[in-house]
Amino acid sequence: MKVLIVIPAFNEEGNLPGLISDIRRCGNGYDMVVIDDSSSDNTSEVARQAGVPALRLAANLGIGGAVQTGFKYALRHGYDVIVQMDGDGQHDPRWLEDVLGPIRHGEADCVIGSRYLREGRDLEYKTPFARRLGMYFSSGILFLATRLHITDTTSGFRALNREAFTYFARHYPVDHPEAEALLMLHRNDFRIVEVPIKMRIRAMGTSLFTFSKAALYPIRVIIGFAGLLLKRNKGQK
Amino acid sequence: VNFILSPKLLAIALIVLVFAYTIQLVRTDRLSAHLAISWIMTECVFFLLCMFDWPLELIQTIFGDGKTIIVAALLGVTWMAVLMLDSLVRISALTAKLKDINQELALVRSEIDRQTGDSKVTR
Repeated sequence: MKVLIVIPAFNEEGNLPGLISDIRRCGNGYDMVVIDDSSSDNTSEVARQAGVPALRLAANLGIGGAVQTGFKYALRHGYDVIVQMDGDGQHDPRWLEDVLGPIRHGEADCVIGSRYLREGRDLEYKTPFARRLGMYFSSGILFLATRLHITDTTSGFRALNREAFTYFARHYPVDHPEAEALLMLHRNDFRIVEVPIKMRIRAMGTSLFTFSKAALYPIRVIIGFAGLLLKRNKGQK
Repeated sequence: VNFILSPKLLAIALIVLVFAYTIQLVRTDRLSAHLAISWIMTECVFFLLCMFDWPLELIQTIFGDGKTIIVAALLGVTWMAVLMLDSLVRISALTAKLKDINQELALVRSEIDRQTGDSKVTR
């Protein structure tokens, strides 16, 4: 099974070397690609120096556009599975095999690494209050729309099989995509599973999820969900 | 003074100003002529409506005395909404194209880098 680790990164020159070497230590020789979302620092150069291909976007597309570039890359290079991990180093590569497990066993098309599953809840990682509120909100909206109980809708630690990322290479939400992407998968009969993971504290830099963004997040989620539900289902599974 | 402040003259002056501004935007390359054409046509129609009395008289005949202004305003606002939606559709389509081109550029660049690297190694 050919696995690709997609690392979307924006101004992460400080965190990337550590993350890349951690993945190499635990990643069973998996390939990696860094998607540099038009950073103003040396994110691409740092990745290349570490021997990882870096795709530099000419203009900032946001996390959704960056991740979708990774899906397109995986599709063109014939990968079977992709694992998405944030470039800030908060996703611990020690959990890679846990996230890949259900896909290896054919039990899921999409696996989400969750901090909040009852079994194995991450008690050490303190989610910022604003982010936690946004997450509860998107979980609630997703449950209302699909009856799907996902505890960590905003988690960016995900694995997708070829069928799922092929679909996302064509259709993927750009703005705050995590929860919307789950709705899209559910509407197209992809199987979604959560596995418990633990997250690390960001070593350098600051999160892009600021208080002002958090305040607007519920509105964006509602608009995004409404837009998706109004659309004809682009089910090409 | 009464003549200058007459609603008809004010409306014509405003439309001429907006028309001149639209033309200026096209001349300075800030607005595409293809995108501006619907707005220019609308401004021309509004200008003609201000110049002649018969369109308002027609509305008056159909809807009655008291509702002329309301109906005229409603028609104008509806048409403006249609134009705005048309512009938003164009912006959405262009945004999607821009995203695809941006992603394609990054993918092609990485492929070129890979091949250049490979050929350097081969040499």
